[in-house]
Amino acid sequence: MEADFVGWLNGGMGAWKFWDDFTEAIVGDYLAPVFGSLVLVGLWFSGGGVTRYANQLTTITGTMGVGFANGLTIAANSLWFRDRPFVNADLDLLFYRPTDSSFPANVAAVGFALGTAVFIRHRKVGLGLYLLAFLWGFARVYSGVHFPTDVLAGALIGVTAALLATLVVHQTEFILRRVLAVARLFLFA
Amino acid sequence: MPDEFLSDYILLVFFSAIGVVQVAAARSGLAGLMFLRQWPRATQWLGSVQVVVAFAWYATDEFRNIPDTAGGLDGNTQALWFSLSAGAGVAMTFLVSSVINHAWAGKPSWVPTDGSNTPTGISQLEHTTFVRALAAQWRRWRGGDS
Repeated sequence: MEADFVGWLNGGMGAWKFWDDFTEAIVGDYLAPVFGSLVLVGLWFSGGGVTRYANQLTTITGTMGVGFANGLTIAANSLWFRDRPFVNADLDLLFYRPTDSSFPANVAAVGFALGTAVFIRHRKVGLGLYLLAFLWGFARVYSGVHFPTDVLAGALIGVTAALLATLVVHQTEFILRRVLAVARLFLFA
Repeated sequence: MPDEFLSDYILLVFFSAIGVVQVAAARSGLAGLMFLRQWPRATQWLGSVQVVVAFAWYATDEFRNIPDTAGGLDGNTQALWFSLSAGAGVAMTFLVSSVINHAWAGKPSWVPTDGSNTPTGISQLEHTTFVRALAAQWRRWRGGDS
């Protein structure tokens, strides 16, 4: 049933050139993570006083969350191997043919980890990153390299990873506060 | 091909990071970090345009959806080069804004040894430049006046 859905979705390829071009740009390994990471860079410099300190903790949380999301995805990939949708179906690809496990989708894990880490403190920016993560995951399904449940599982991993990172940052804040105080001496924080 | 792919990635991150820092500086009143200190709104716009142009160039210049086994970048390499390129962009911003705003920062509106209200860290860039603030910090460490 999932394969049918991917086939149906992928069958729409070619109907709207603009959408296909957009998907081809966003589906890749580079633009979406760079954009999300740049948001974290921007947060590092944003606000003033206590607000900037909180934003810098958000940057640390987001970075840590992405690391956790990657680790959890690698662990899950090693436990379950699932063929990509294009392996057993004739699909038009806007993407190269990955050989690793389809389940869970690493891009969704990374995207939703970034979105959750930021959403906790900045609702609007976080929603923007959630939208980006959704589009990134949707583009992968549309392009025939992931099933919807791969993306869903990746999203759950991403949210969990970001919440875990938030907890770690909260528990180690007394250390981070000192590290940031030292960085402040050199005007890095 | 791999080198060109990597250099394009570095350029994307480098120029985007500069744009993002300009937007953040303008929104947060970090005058000493802005290239157009007197025009914060224009700085926000130009910073945003810089990011959009960098992304548009990267997305349209070449076909980028290639695997790391064929000249693309794997996750770890990407993380490494993102950090280095964004760091270089921030460093370039610190240096260029320090040069552009050098004369303005010569007359700080706050006294660095003024007690508890003295800004610290990046907040100093609301009143002075990175190089001047770092020099003042260095003098404080060495026991001289600030």
